[in-house]
Amino acid sequence: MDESNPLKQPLDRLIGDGCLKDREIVFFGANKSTKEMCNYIKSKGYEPYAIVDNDSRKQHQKVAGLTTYLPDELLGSYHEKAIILIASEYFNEMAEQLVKLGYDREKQIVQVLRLNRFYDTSKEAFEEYADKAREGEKIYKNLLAQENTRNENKDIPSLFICPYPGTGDIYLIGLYLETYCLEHGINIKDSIITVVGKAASRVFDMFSIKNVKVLSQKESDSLVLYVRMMGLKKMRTLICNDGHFQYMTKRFRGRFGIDFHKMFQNAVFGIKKRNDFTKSTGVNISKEELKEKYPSLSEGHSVLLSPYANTVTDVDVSFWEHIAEKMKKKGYSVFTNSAGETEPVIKGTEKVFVPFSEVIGFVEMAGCFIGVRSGLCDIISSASAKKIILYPEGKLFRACSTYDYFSLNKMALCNDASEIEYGDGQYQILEDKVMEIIDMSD
Amino acid sequence: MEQTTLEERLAHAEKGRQFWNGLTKECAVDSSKIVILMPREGKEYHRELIENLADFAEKSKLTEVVFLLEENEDFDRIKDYIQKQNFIFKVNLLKITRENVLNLLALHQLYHFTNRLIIDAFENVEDADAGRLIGCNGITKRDVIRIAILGLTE
Repeated sequence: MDESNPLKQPLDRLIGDGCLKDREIVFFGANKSTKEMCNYIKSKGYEPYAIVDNDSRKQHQKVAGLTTYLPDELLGSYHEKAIILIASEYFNEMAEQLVKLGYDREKQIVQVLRLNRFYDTSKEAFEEYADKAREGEKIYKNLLAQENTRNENKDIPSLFICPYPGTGDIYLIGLYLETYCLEHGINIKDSIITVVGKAASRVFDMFSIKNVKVLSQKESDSLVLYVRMMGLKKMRTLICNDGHFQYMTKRFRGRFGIDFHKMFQNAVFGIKKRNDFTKSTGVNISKEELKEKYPSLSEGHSVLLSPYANTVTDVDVSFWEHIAEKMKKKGYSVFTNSAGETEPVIKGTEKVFVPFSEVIGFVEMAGCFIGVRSGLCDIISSASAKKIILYPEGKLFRACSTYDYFSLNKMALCNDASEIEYGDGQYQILEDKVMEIIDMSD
Repeated sequence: MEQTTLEERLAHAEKGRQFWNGLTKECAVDSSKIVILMPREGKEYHRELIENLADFAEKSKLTEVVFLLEENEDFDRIKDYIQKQNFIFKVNLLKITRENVLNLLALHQLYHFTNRLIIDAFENVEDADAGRLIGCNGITKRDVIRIAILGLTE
């Protein structure tokens, strides 16, 4: 393997750390990268075990001397010693599939490299992308057929592609989509909106945007490729992101005071007037319904804890346990918003998973929300309640701190959030600050 | 409206690939050289890019810059302006047809095929347009060129 091959360094690290010793080494994806990884690992004295690939046409084919199996076929019965190496742009989907088969994401699934065949002008690389664009064309035509909006006398519908499923991203898109459509003479009801995953489509529900099509990441990426190739203007398409597999515009993240909101408003939508203080998102549930659904939700004396986020590192569980205990002593009902097993419920609290469409109502009725900065914070930003939002101190998001890029108040999503930066391990100080805010407002 | 099929666009991109491979071979493009494409889509940025190129070249330790100038009414003006600069690196000015420009842009839209090419434009190049940030929080055209196009973030 050439020194400049980007796979070499992560593989050397895995070997050096002893991660491959006495393991059944499985590769996900029968492709050139797997071949390179396999050959390199063999050259270091290891004997890889097999390849898995979702493409049934590759089933039982040999790549670099290894047999290719369907994932279920090989890994359906649990292999305790398996370590699965992945170098693919679809790592998350592959990892999810493996987790469902019972494999440990931390210990058995390794992203060697998030691989795009960038910087490769071989015919093979070209054809790989060309095939993706062709897939994208099929998806596009399928969307049109579903909408049944195209006919001889009518232009093709406007298409809004949301290629990244982050809740906060979708929230900002929801905030500006209607304005963008108004400025461009587009009837939003006649347009097609695509998102990755159902959670993203539920964010749009809050803006009463209904014509949303859910795609997989792979489908969405192929669609993006197709419309790019055909020309965004011609395809009446807006890709609602500041840099999906592109890099120039997002270099401004965190520079010149360009925060999350300004990036979407200006660079993505080209809208000059800021939509201050979200006009969104009505409260779609009545107090009576909330009381029925969440019997222990005590009006004005409850708190929703939101300890988990994708972008921001978690705060130690002991902090949450102390906060829960103190809030309970003050007579609050305490809830943990938890999406499931990967988000353990804080000890002594009640587990809830409040749908986006209800969460503003829930927080308003509860009276208090405490959470690390996540997409959920964008959603609840408009709630009339005590909102305490936690940001890791010193953690950079591109060119500025997480706080400077994502602050709800700075982004003008609200002006009444209490926002606190916390240092690594300084949970006592954080706890004191949070309780001080609670005490002051009680 | 002109109807172009995906296969036609891919054929353009394939021509772009062949053009690029030929160019990089002919000019022996390696990590000490960069190719800058100046299409008409980025007309308003060309002057600013030329003026900020010395910093980029220094940071990237470039010994040579290959300019791909589109064959159009602006060609002589841009060429003269480049030649007036006292660049300490070697300058190689090449005139290319609009067709080759479009072929390269088509290839760029398909995927990032190289890190040795800078395209001095946003339209038909990027989905989001950093040019729209001009005026926002005091951002100037110079800032957009330096940060977004040249990656000069210091």
